[in-house]
Amino acid sequence: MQISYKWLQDYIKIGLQPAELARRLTTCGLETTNIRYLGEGLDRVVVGEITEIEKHPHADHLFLCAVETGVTGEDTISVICGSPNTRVGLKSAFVPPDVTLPTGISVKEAQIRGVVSSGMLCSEKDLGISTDHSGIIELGSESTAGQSIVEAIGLDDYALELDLTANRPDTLSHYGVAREISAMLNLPLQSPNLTVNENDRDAHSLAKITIQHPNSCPRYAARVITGVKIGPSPRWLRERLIAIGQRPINNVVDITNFVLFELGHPLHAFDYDEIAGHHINVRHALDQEQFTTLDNVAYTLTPETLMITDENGGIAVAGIMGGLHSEVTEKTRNILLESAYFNPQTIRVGCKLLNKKTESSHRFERGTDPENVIASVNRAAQLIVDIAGGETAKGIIDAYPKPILSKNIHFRLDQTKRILGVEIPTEKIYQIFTSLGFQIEQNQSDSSQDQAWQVVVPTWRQDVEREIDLIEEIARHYGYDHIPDRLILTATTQSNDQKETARKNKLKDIARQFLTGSGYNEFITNSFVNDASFERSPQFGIDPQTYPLIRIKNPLTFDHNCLRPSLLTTVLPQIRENIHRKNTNLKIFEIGTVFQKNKQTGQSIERTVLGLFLCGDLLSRNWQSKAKSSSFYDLKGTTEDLFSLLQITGIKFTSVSHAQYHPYRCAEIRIHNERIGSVGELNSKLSAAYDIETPAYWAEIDFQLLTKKISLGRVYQQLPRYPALERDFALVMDEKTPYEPIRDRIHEIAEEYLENMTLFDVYHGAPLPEGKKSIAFSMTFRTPGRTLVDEEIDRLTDRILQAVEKEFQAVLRG
Amino acid sequence: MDDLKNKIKSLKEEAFSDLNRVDQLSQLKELDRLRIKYMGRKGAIQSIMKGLKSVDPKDRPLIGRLVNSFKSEFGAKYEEKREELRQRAEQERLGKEWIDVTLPGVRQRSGKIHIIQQTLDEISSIFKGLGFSVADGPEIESDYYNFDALNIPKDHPARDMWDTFYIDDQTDRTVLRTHTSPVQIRTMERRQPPVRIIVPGRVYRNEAIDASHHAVFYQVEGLYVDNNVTFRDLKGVLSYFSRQMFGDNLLVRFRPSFFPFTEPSAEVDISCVMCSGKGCAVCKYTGWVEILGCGMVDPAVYRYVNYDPEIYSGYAFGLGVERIAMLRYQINDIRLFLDNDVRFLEQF
Repeated sequence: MQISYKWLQDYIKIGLQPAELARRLTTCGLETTNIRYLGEGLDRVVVGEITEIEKHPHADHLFLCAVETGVTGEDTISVICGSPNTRVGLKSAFVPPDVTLPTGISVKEAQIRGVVSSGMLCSEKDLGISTDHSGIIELGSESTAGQSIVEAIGLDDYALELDLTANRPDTLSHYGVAREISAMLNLPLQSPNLTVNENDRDAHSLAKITIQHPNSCPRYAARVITGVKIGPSPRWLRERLIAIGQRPINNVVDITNFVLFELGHPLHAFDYDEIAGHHINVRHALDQEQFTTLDNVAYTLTPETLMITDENGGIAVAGIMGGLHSEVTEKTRNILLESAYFNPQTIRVGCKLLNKKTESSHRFERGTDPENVIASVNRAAQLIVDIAGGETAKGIIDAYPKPILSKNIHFRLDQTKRILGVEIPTEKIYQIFTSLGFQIEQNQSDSSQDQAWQVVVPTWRQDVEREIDLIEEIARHYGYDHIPDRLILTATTQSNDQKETARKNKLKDIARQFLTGSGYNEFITNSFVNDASFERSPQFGIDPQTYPLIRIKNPLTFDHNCLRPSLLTTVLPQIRENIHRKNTNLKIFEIGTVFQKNKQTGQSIERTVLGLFLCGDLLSRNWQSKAKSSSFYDLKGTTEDLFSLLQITGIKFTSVSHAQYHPYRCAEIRIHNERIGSVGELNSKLSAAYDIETPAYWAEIDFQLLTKKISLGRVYQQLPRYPALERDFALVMDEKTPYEPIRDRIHEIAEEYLENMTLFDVYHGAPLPEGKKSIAFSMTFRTPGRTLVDEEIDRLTDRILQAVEKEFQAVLRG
Repeated sequence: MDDLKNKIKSLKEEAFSDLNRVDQLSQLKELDRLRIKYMGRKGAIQSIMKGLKSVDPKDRPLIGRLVNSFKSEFGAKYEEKREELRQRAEQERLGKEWIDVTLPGVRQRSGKIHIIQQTLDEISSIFKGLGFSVADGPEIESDYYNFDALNIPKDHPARDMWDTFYIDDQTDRTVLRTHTSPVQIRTMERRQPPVRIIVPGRVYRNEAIDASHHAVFYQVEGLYVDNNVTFRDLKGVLSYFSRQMFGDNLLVRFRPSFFPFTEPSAEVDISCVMCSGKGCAVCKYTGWVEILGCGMVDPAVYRYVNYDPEIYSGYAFGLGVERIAMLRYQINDIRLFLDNDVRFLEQF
């Protein structure tokens, strides 16, 4: 909210400069985010009086004006102006040549259709002080030619931008802010004049109020003012509104706005003559009730919305916006001025349903002061009579079926220290409370040790309800800065959940350290995806019609309409971005959450997954070696290294097919027969869809399942004391015979004698026959406790060779 | 006898001048030849020794000493010469093995942990050092944990503080968590105080994305509930954290704010790390930048987890990880984090 520094001074004489005031407000909880000098950039703009007018000789809609700018001894200045309100005697804002206004308008001496114009007369919009562009500014007779415009239109002021928290509706006005400053600086507060001059006619004879739903509308008050003349507001009123960024409309509407920003209570002025039966009925809307608000939007309402109605139907949506029909117009003569207290929740529900927010609803939904109802209606009524003429009928029609009582809080003095940790003198607490308008009734019966007060909360402080709220008030006004820091370290034992979380995080750390050490960069990608991308690329294997995707009801944009079912779906778009930026050799991993629905229960399932991506050159060309492009085996090797680092055994890679991979270049990863992931070459259609021109490789591992397989416990293995024996063999077999089963079979036969088996060559081609391959491997045999002898290993390898020949048709290469 | 002495003397001169002449590497063989010439079985010394029997016996010890001294001096000189040549040969060989050490090394470039993860790790390690344990929870939450149990009632304007994504599941009650605070509730439900946790994690806000806002970002939540935890402890821990993260010379400011789940509430500003508090675009010319929100846990929250607010008190805080990283590394656009341009990632 914007607060005018000058306006504040109506209620409190603040000795502080705006910047210092802003700092103090911020440390008191009224965060001031910006200070703007209203006259910024307007120092060379002056009052210019039009002394003569001629029609422009070559343009129908332009006038040639002689403008007096108050410089003695100088002739008037010749200015061309096209504004419809240009007339002799008008005092307006004159901008001399070579001035650039804050709006960016740059004024130069210029020839307009052959006639020189030495400056510019301008509108409020040109100066950037309002959006009014209907004509050049019209200044009153009190201004003089040559006077600075900053002074003439009250721009010698600062607008403070306050970012107020939702719990402080009492500060949503100048008087409310002044009240807080008064407590903060211990300065006297001057309330605005609230007396009303009334005529003899009883308001109750002019209108009637019925509240059908007192829970939604505990109080509804109104005054009737007759014989007003609607017109533009006086300059002082316009200035006040302009200073806080509001657009002046007409005197009556401006006054209700002024009182809103002065006292914080929203008012609504109805055209009295348009209220059918002069009977206000506050009730909830009927189902399907139609209503058009004064901004000309038609609504179909539901019973949750509270309405102000007359005998013909709705005239306003309570607390949110008035209707088009009963709006104050130029023709309005008599006014019914509404001042009500609505239930905050009722207004909030109404705003949600109508998807509408106004200055009024903003205050009502946060909670206005039920006692401010009367002060505000009086203030506005008198201002209307003063400015728009007319008379106020006697009395306030005040329907208050559900009086709202002041809150009374039991406050124990020792609780302040328990929460804040600091001893604050009782006198200081007393002073803080009273300066904020809290009344204290001391409980004499209590012993001094657990002394308690009854504290009566002023009605404007809707947020203060409990003892803790009072403690906050003390802290706020005592000053957070005056509460000293304290750093005491004590240990807290971890729960089992926390230990499990620590273990998971440690494993993630190990994986991150290893993968970055192996040259992989870590990605963190968005959780949102567009299900259309699964239709575009069926290779993801995710059919949006059948896959249990988790969808967002209110996505930010259509391409963020569901949560990623796999990491690949969000990694690939970022890979494409990198490739477009010429980052083509990529080693990437991400550890992230993926989402899907449980098909039976509909519950959401979140899994932590590790994704690995590889494309382009694994090793770039350098002066020592040629480039090496990445391969399936590089990525597979990374996963194997990771498993080995985490001491996971029993890993199996088996051929499998999945749409996202090349049909013959992918494997499923299993640990002790449980599927934990896959690795493969990406389907070339999929990589092409993401502009990857080289073969690309992807692996994904369910990190949660993996975590379960890992024990971080380690037991030292005796280092071998007896020598090993080595044997190398080459076997020839069908080229599609997979290696892993042979390896496993050999391990099975050799039992614990085979310490290690290393594949060192796979060969196709001459002199081998077509369709055959040779694999060469080295085996290391060892047994603890003794030295092996050649003969026993020869017997063992004979058995191995016989078995692989029989079972895999693999023969020793001759 | 004098003849013999003279002969030894001249032989010595001749031998040393022979040895001194050997200074080419190629003359290793020549050196050997000289050794044989003078010291060999048929060498000069042997021939002198053969003539010894014709010498007067009383002079023999003298001649013997002369011969022995000749032998040892020749031997020492010979060894010295040999070593010198060997060393020169070694030098020559090494010289031929010269390489250009200015050529680039063969590198295996390591990757980088994402800067957000690094920042998360750093924040976590500071709090772990203060006795906090890490807790976690789901990203898809019920509105009970995300709002109600945190004292943010339905139809209360405070809910506007969080623009929320709803899951399309017919209940209208499932959200993407807007903060990591639900884990506070989940933890307290399962455990009596003392509770001292931090919750790093991903959160979601339905906000338009621009250079300083994103719909997807990371938070670290903190909670400490025990007997006698006060606002002073909150200030102590968060001031310590801020200085650890941004430097000892930092000014830290706590100012009153509002969160439904804390009372009193505060926001913490640090003196602007860009301009040291002088005023710049980052701090909007205030000299301060906000880094986190915090406060004493509101007694209303304890009601949801069956803690007795008369016995226990505590504090909670929440900080935005991207914001901290942006201030720390002077990153001016939050979107860079999820863009994952490797040229960006590799800078950290």
